[in-house]
Amino acid sequence: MAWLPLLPTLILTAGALLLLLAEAFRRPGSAAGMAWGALWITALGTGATGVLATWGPLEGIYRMVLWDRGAFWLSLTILVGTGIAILFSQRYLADRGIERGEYYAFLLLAAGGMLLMAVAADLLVVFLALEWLSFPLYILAGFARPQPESEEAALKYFLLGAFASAFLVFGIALIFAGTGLTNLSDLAAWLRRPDPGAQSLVWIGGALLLVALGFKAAAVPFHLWTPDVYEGAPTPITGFMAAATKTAAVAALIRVFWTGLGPAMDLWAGPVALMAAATMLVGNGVALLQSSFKRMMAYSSIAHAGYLLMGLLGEPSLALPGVMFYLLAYSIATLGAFAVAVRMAGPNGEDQSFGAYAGVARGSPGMGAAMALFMLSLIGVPPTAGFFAKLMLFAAAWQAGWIALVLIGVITTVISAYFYLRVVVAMWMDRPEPRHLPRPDPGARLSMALSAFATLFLGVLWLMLGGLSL
Amino acid sequence: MDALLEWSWLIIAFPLLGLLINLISTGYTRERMAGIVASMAAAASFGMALMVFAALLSRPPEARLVEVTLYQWAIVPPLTAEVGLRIDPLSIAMALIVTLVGTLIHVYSIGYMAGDPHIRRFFMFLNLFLASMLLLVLADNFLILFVGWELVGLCSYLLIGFWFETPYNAWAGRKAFIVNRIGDFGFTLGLLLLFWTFGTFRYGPIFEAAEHGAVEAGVATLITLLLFAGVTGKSAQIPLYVWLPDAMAGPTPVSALIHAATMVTAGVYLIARAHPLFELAPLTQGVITLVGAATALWAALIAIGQFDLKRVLAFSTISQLGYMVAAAGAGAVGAAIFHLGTHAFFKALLFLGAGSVIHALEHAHRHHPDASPFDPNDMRRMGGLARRMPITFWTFGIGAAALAGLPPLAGFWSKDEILAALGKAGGWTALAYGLLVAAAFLTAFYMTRQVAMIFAGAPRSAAAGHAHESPAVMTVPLMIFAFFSVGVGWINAPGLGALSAWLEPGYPPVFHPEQALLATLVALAGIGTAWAIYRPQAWPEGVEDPLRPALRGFFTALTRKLYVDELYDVLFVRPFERAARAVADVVEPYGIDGAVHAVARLVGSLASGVRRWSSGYVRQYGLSVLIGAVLLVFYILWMLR
Amino acid sequence: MPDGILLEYVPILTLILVGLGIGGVALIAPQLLAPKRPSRRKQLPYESGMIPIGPAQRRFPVKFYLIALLFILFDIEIIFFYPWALQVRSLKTLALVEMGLFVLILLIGYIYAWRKGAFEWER
Repeated sequence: MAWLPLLPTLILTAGALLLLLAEAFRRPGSAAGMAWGALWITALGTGATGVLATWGPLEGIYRMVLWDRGAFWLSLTILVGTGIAILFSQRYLADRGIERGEYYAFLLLAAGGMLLMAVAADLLVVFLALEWLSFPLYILAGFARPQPESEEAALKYFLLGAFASAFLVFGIALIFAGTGLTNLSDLAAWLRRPDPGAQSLVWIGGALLLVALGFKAAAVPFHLWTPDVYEGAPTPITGFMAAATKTAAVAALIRVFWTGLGPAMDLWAGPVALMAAATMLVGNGVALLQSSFKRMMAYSSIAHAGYLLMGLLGEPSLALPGVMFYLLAYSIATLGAFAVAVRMAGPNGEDQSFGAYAGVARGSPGMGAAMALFMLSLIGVPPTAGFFAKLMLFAAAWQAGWIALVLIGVITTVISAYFYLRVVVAMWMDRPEPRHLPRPDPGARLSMALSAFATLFLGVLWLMLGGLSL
Repeated sequence: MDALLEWSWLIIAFPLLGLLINLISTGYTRERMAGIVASMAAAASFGMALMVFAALLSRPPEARLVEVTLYQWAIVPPLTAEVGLRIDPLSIAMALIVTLVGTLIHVYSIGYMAGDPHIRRFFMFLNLFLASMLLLVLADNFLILFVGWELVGLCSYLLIGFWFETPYNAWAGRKAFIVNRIGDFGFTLGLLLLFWTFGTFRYGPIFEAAEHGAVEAGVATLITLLLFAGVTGKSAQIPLYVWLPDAMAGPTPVSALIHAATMVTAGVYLIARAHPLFELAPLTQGVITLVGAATALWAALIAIGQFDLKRVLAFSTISQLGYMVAAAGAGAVGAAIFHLGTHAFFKALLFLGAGSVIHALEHAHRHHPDASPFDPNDMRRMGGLARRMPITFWTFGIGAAALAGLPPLAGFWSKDEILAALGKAGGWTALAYGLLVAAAFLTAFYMTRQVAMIFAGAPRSAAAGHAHESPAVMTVPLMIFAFFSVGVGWINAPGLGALSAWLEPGYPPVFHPEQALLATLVALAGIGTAWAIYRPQAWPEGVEDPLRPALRGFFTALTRKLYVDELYDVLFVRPFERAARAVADVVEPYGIDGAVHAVARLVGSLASGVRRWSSGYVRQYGLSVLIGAVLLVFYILWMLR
Repeated sequence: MPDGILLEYVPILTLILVGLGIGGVALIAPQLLAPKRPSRRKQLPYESGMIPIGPAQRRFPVKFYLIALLFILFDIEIIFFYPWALQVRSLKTLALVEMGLFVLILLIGYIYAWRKGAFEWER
């Protein structure tokens, strides 16, 4: 049973390969079938995750992978994100004329890599998973070829991603050089009784890991790729990256910095706190100035990386539920927002400026209401899930004594209300006459409805249970 | 039977179910079915309350306390809140009163509201009110009581302004809401202090701690005074009673149910519920007793000068609430609840009778319009209705007699018990006693005046001359209420004392024959004086009110409600408006907006500086990553030094 | 820093030094030893004996890259077989199954590339 922690990854990867084969042999015009296939495979992966939910800590493959409660919640968030992204992709690809079946195969492949990250217990697996999830994303970012923006996004993402990966490998190498270990829990044991001579290697290695993972999570000052890539990538992929990739990157941070470098927390807490503060301030601040929804969401994604980094500073047993719930709430609200945003694409191209959103809610009030809900959740207004997620994270950081950081978090939250509500205002009030978008397809409608329901339901559920005991 | 108690939450659930059915029902019949659905829901709630009562009755007196925890609700770990019910004699007695009166008024409303285009909304609010009131009554902790407390306030607001097309009605609803907010502010502070002191909201632990003297007298005084601030709002006591007369803008069944029988008694219930706390604070008790007694007299005085028939009843309600509050404040909880129960019946009866009169006059006016502007509530335009509406007359008369305290009607027994309880004590309570006796005289006086103005003599308008008796769906509840107004007092008559045995086993009702005689004489004196002035023979044609020439300026003051509204207007409302205007004109644009705009500009300019960072060049992005990495490594090296 | 760990890297250091040495000697020795009689033809860029025509920086059809990419991919994957072949006896069936999976995945990629026409020069 050593490979059980890998089960979700294996299912998605095998599914991706099957889809690739199917793509090689399918008849033209049957791309919708590919979407269905991908959806079923995601559902199967979710089912496997559900079956594994109650299983206790489960190590396997030379202790390189580990299934635990955290792995379950991370996997669930990733799979939910993947499923919703598939739901609203199909019509978008058709509208943009880029309906190629490889899309779904790569999406599943990336998700498989993310799921591997969720169970990583070894630095080598962290590296493997990071590359695994990154390569399909590089391709997907450029999937709207021959659109120059999309190709630019792919190239930028690839170059900088490779650059960051180099830091990761070098960091792992330094740690290995210092300790001869790659297993994270062994590393933690080593750090509790460090060898003074090799300590410096490990710490510098850790700093380089922070660079690489901070890059993937889009933390300041490693965030600069984010707006360009998010803007250029096809809109569903942007949503998928904002939600699922963020989850995987935070998973890596959790694994490396809590499981592995946890005993050295005093050392890394300072820089991480600085990064968190800078990320919250820059993300929320620059988001104010954006005039395009996708770019705004890119800075929103950066800003939320800041809140999540803040959660990393809490005492792990207290902060872990907060981080998990935050990832889930953030992912769902973000994907819901992108499910609305993909409706802005038509045969004539795609306009994501706020001006294009004007009056949309008068034409389709359901979409307007859903968008308002997602934005409220991203701000963190009760009773949406986002509020309780922020509450838990802030509480964890507060209890760990990061009071100034919490204050920055609160202030930036207030700032964030301004830009999140701007799109809502545009949709409802900016133009007196309604703007009629084509009626959303069932997939997009379903993804909107699911996200809206989950956003409210998670909030109410939290209230009812008085805090999820994850 | 005990398993039944676990299901006592159904008492609250039935009205909610009725609300839900009316909410989701569609189609042609929904407006017509709304009243029936709502009434059945109320009746089911009453039935359930009866069964729970029976289950409780089958237990020995000392075991008549069941706490049913429905649901654990933790907000933040140290603060836990349970949603639970406390089934004990007091709460069930209240629940029985609320559901019985509520059911009858639901039925009555079917007739009274027939033809209203928004009848479904009306019944949904009514069901919501019933559920909220029952939540308030049955809650086992102060937090849930507060939830119910605010919900009934909301329903009151919604129903006062039910005909919000008329600006006055909407204004009255707002007034009720705002005045109650003032009281509830104190109430909230009291609750917070309560939680701070005891660490819980639950009655059980709090009362236990209070009885073991775990709380200082000063703290208890402060808590109870703050709670009493809420009572003065909800139960319309001095100084916050001013909303209740205007609350008569709502439909008459609402006035009967919410603003006479049930919601306004929530304050009395609170004092009764929390009496272990109040008993720790003699100062508060003294304040409550005096405020109650003063309110009783003050409101009775104003009632004499009113011409709107519902307003007379409103002031009468305030006055009677004063009796209850005074009794509860003096520790005579049994007497207070007894009067609460009897008052619920005869005041509901009076309101419904008034509704019947108004209903009849409106109908008559539609067919025989007067030339002058018509107000169906104006008693100056009535008269002579005794012959035209016999059932209404007789039932209203019984209600009036019960309110005046004539033996052996309900009001006699309960008012008597209050006077007897207060009369035995000395000091300030003696002053309260004197006020209440004076109020009893005025009560008999204004009720006789009202009956004489409505029913005696010749009709003073065309509508009054052509009025007809109301339909059976309205008169039958009147007769039922009349029956209760006659009979319900006997449950705590001396010798029987069923209510006292139920609420406070071992404490039979107090009864002094000489006290009863005095009260009866006072009531008879009031009736006689009023009849001497207002009997048709003594009332010249064309005179608005025979009392006006006798009292002159003072009577005008009475009709203007002793200028209290005007006083509040000058003292509070206008200065507040001026302050608000100043805030809106000066502080808002220059202070707050200025600060907000300045901060926004600051953030904006800072952010646009940061934005240049993202130039679009990959080499710069890579450089940023590199600089970050170098800084991190230098930090580590610096730490290692 | 413990000496033991660094000692393990001595062979690698040796390898690097040997590599640098051979390369350096191969570059430096001709400079010192070879006779130098330059002529115009000798100074032309070497291009398999052909006389170069036009600028050196030209655009190649992307097909070359595609083929080269596929070649490198499979080439490198096949290198993986060598260490596997050395150890397959000691690793027993599991190694066989794992290599089977590996080949299967490669095969799927191969089929995909084939079906998509990556090997057709003219299309």
